[in-house]
Parts: sequence; C-alpha cells; structure tokens
Amino acid sequence: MRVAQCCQSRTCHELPKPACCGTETSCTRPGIWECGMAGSLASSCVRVDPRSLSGAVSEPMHLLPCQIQREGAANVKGYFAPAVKDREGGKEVSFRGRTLKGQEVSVPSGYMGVVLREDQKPCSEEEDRLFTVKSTFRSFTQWNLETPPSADDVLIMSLIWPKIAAAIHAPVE
Amino acid sequence: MVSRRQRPGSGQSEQWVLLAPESLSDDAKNLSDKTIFAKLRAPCTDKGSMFLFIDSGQQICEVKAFHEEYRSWFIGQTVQQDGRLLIATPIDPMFLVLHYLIKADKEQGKFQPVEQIVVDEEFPSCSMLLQCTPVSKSLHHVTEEKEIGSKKFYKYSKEKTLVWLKKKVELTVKVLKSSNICVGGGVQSATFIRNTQGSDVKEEDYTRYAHGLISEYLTEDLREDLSKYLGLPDLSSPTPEPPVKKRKVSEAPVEAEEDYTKFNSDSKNKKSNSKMTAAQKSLAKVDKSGMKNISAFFSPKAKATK
Amino acid sequence: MELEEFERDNSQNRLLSSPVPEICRTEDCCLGIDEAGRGPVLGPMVYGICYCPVARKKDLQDLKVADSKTLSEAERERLFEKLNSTSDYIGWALHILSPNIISTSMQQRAKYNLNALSHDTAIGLIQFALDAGVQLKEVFLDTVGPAEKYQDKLKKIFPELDVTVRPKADSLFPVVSAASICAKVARDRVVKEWKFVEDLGDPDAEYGSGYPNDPKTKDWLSRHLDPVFGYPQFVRFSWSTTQTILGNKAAPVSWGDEDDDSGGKSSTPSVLSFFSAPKDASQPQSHRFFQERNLKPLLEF
Repeated sequence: MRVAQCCQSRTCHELPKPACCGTETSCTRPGIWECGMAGSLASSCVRVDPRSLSGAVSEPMHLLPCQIQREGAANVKGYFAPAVKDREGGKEVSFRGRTLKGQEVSVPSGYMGVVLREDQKPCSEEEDRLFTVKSTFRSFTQWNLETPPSADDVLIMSLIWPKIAAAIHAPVE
Repeated sequence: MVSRRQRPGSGQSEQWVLLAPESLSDDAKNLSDKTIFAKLRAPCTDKGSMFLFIDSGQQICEVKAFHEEYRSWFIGQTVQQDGRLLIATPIDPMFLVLHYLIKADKEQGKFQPVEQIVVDEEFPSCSMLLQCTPVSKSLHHVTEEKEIGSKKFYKYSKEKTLVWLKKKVELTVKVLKSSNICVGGGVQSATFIRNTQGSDVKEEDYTRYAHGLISEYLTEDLREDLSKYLGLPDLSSPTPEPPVKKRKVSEAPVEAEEDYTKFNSDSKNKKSNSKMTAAQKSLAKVDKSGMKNISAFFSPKAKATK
Repeated sequence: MELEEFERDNSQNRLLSSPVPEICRTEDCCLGIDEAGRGPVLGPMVYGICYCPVARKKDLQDLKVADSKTLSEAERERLFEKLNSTSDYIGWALHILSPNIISTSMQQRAKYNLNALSHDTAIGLIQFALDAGVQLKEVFLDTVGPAEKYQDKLKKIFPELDVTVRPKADSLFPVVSAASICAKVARDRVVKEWKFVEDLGDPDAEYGSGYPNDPKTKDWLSRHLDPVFGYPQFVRFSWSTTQTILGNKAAPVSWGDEDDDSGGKSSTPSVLSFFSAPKDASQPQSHRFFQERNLKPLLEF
C-alpha cells in the first residue's frame, strides 16, 4: 500500500550526510524499539510515542454526518460551536445550510479517546513509523443529518463492542 | 527543500481517531517503548490486520474501524476528512497463537518450544505475542505440554482447545444476554428494532451467535468443529424464508444470510416498507452499511413553519 | 415591533403581532398578506398580514399606504408608525422566516421549496388571525406560483373566506400595501442589525440590499467565504448564488443523500446508489454483529 518514498519528500535534519534512504541507518531516530525480526522487510510497525500522550490536551470532538474534503484548520469555535443550540430532542446546529441533530457520546468506560498523528513519514519501508498523540477526548458529539440521534444508531450500537469483546477475550478460568 | 508530499493514492489523513483501553496512559507514565501497532496474521482471514500492543507490550488489542461513508471529524480547531472511529479492544492473544500451533501440528506434528512455533516470515512481529501475559498462562488450555529440564515443549490439542472454546462461548452468551444484543435468528434485526428480544429467542440462538462471534478468530476447520462440539444443529434447511443468493458457504457465518430478512420484517418501528418490496432483491446484494437511514428517505415531509 | 424576540434566536422562525383591536373581533374584516425579502441571498424572509374592518377600508386608504417598493425607507418607517398608532382598528402580524430555516428547509432530504414554504406561511398567518379572534371575511394577497391554483388551494382550506389572489396585489389593495410595509420594515430592521449567532468578530454590514446582483452583496459574499463552513447562517445556502460560490471555492462536502442541488432538475438516483460501497469479494463476510455496526478490521494505517 505504501509507496516507497525517498528522502526528497522530507528532510532528515539529524543526518550529517546528504540524506537518502539507501542504508538502514539513515534517518534512524533514537530509541526505536525493534519489533519483530530486525532488518526484515515490511515489518509494518508503528510506534506510539508515549511522551506525547502525557502532554496531550483534551479537545472538543464532533463527528459529522457528511464528508468534508479538507484537512487542517477549521474555524470551529467561530462558526460551529456558538451556533449549537440545545433544543427539545437534543442539540441542533446547521452546517452548510443543513440541519444537524446531535448528542454527546461518552467513550465506553475503561476507554480513552486519542487522536494519533503521523508528522513525518519514515525514509524507508524498513524503518518503523512514529505516531504521536495529538489530543485526547472523553466524549464527542455525534451529529446526524436531520434525524435526532438515538440508541438505535449504528454508531451507538457499535460502542457496545468493547463489552462484548471483553467477554470473548477474557481469560478462561 | 521540497515540501512534504501528500500520501499517495488517497485523501486519507495522516491522523486517526482512536478509542483505546485506559491502560494506554500507564504506558505514558512508564514511558513504555512498547506501545506499538503491528501487523499480524488474523486467523479468520489468514491475512494481515492491525493490532496494538499496550501495557508495556503485555497486552494486545485488535483494531476495528467504525466506518460510515459520509463522516468527517472536527477535532479542536481542525477538520479531518477521515470520519472513521478506530476502536482498539484487548484480545486473547491465544487466538493468534492458536493459528501457529495448529500449523506446526499439521506440518511437524511434534512437541516444540513455543518460540519455534510462533514464527512467521510475513509477519515477523508475531514474536511479540509471546511477551503478552496471557500466553504463558493459557498455553495449557490448547496444548499438551512436556517439560524437559527447564524447557517446555508444546503440541496442539484439538480436544483441549474445544473445551477451552466452549467456555469462551458460555461466557460470551452470558454477556450477550446482559447486553440485550438481538440474537434472534436474524428474523428481526437490531438495526431496525431496538433490542426487543422476542420471547421466541432460544438458548440455541445465543450459543449460535456467540459461536459466530468467536468464529471471527478461528480457522474454518476449527469453526466447524466447534459448532459440532457445541451441538449446534445444521442450518441447511432454515425457517420459511425466501431463497437467498447463496454466499460461499464456507465464508459465511451461519446466520449471515438471514440479514436479508430485515427487509421483510414487518415492524411497527419501520416508518414505511411498502416501497421497499420492489427493491428488496437488489438491495440484498448491496453493501448494507448505512442502511439505517432508509426509512428516512421515505419519512413524511416535515413542516418548517412554526 | 418587538424584534428582540426574533433576535434572541435568529436560527428559528418567529411570529410577532400587534394586539387585536376590539372592533376587529366584532365587525367583518379584510386582511392583506405580503412578503418582503423573498429574493435576497441574505437575511430572513418576512411575511406580514394587516387587517381592519371592511367598513374602515377607506380610512386605511386615507393613510396613503402604497406598495412598499415604491416608498423610501423613511416613508415606510413613517407609515409603519402610523399603522401601529392607529391600533384602534388596524392589526398586524409578522412571521419572520430565519435564513437558517430557509436554507435547511429547502435543502432537507424531503425537499421543501420556497413556494410551498411561502404558501404554508401565508396559510399559517390567516389561521393565526382567525385563532386570535379576528372576524375575517376577505383576504387579499399577491400570488406565489400560478394565481388560480393558489386561490383554489386557499379556498379549500378556508371555505368561509372570500379569497382574492391577484398579481400586484400590493399596489391594488391598500390592506395588502399595509401588510407589505409591515413586512418590509421588519425585514430591513432585522437585516441592518443582524446579530450573528457565530462568533466572527464583527463582520462588516456592507452587504447592500442582499439581492444576488447587487455589487455590494456580491462583494460581501466574496469577502466572507470560509473554506470549511461557507457562510454564517445569515446567508441562504439554498440560493444558487451561494451554491455556485461554494462549489467553486469551498471544500467539497458530500452528504450521501444529494439528488441534485445545482440545476434545479430533480434527477432521482436509484435507492441503490445510497448503498453502493466498494465490493471486495476477497474479504469474507464478517459476523452480522459487525456488519450491523459498520465495524471492520483495520488492515492498514
């Protein structure tokens, strides 16, 4: 799936020599835990930087009922958050001239929400990828298009999964 | 200096929203360097799938994606096109180890140290499984053991495995009941009807459902063996349902075919089904994700005034 | 006119009214209906009714009310105050349709077009007058859509009323002129003092008339486009002007239920298209627990 990218697509500041990914050692970041058999191809490991989690702040999360083809900055606190109204039957707001109806959904108990981010792709396939925790959340707002959210929503039903999984995977005896 | 290139091939973000066990924060406290996503062989498909090691590598989670087509996230003051919600839930690593035990038994048929058994060129990370706490504790559930000196040797035991799996099925049945999951032979669907468990739901329906869930982690052979071991009747002549385009029998969990009947179920909760009839057949062939909304297409026009 | 009531939550519609003059409860009355702000891409549409005893039509005419479009803003304000102060025999009511409601109604899944919205609002106001105790006899209004059809529709709903649907009613019947003045004054005041529900600092109020072809309006629209959100609720998203700008300059947004928003032609897609998903025959079916919940294993990051 991943196409091998060469270093021209990013800069490897830590390297003394002109950066390229020919050798195993280039671009290696310190402290990477070797997973699997060292040096083997396509180990497909992604390391999560634990430090980033301690520093991550909680951010408001909204799950929208549409696909927005854009990544990055959005003036949520200017356009969206102030327009959210508490009406009978739950939260209501409009986005792009369409009515959204929402409810606050807590993450299942025993769980936490995190937003993971990959800031830089590694130079080579052999190297582990690195994710950082960008932010955390304890709840999010689920928005439906025009229909009020309910316990029958597929999203809400899917959040029972951790409980069922716990039964399937509990140690026997 | 060339600016960073977009990831090829998709509008997928380089950012993901994930629910994970709270013990993830212990890893942060301990500065564990073993919080790792790794691709491992999923026993059901025999293909690679993503797993997450947490708790200093002692616990392994599988990662599922809640995925509706038309979803995006607002995260703080940003927008993320990818509206998936990933859910990492702890799994019993024995399900993943089992695959290798069975394979070793088929190929070598002898007692071996577990490090020699759990080896996979395609998924080298599988060796990390052995660091998970439950593995050493649970191996005896699925193998015959021999100890020579201080070294332990293992060989897969189907009999023991079935006993072990039956216990898992029973435990799952218990939770299915307490969670009000709609297990009734697929005639009613939880998608439309809120967990009103008909009085005609039998113990067998629960067992079958639990078997179906656990089968997600089993190879095909073991799935069928377990079904027999549980005494589940063959569903080759089901209740009077219209004939359905047969899926490849081996691939489908026993109940899956009956999903189709959710379009027949004549429930009060469904706003309108009169128009559905014509579309039933074709719909049955289509991906049903998002079908929840169908009633909304026919919902009466809402007045906006007042 | 207590516009504050609307301004407290201008995402919603609001009905405002004068007290019903006593004489209107006992004598046969005529009622005019007119609207302001149907065309603009910005702000609310306001529907107004004005009523008085049939016997006092002449008095109303003597106030020199005329079609609001032929009057200056100052004249309209002056006439509104006159109407309001002669409350011993003239009553009025206004239904302010929030631009947010216009946008969301016209774009909702079960489409609600502007004509239907207009009809329903007019009907609602007639009913309001009846419910308030006005002894209605005659109703005059301008048409929305074909006049005859509209008249039949109203007559069916209010068989006891003498309904006259007539193009240019606002210049033909003083009671309709009066209604048009009430509506126009309310619309102008609301637009001038628009309280943005959004927190956008202070967007400038140089939006002109709000008509799509007004250069000031055009300019305002191009200055205030947000690539993600488009516009504040003040702007009618259902207008083709807005749709075009968003289509060209804002991030594409798909809802999965669009049949057609751009051309006004309603091509209804097969219900199947809502469900189409990439087929992957190679993947075995997962248990219905997961299928029903849209849960799939994550194969790759």
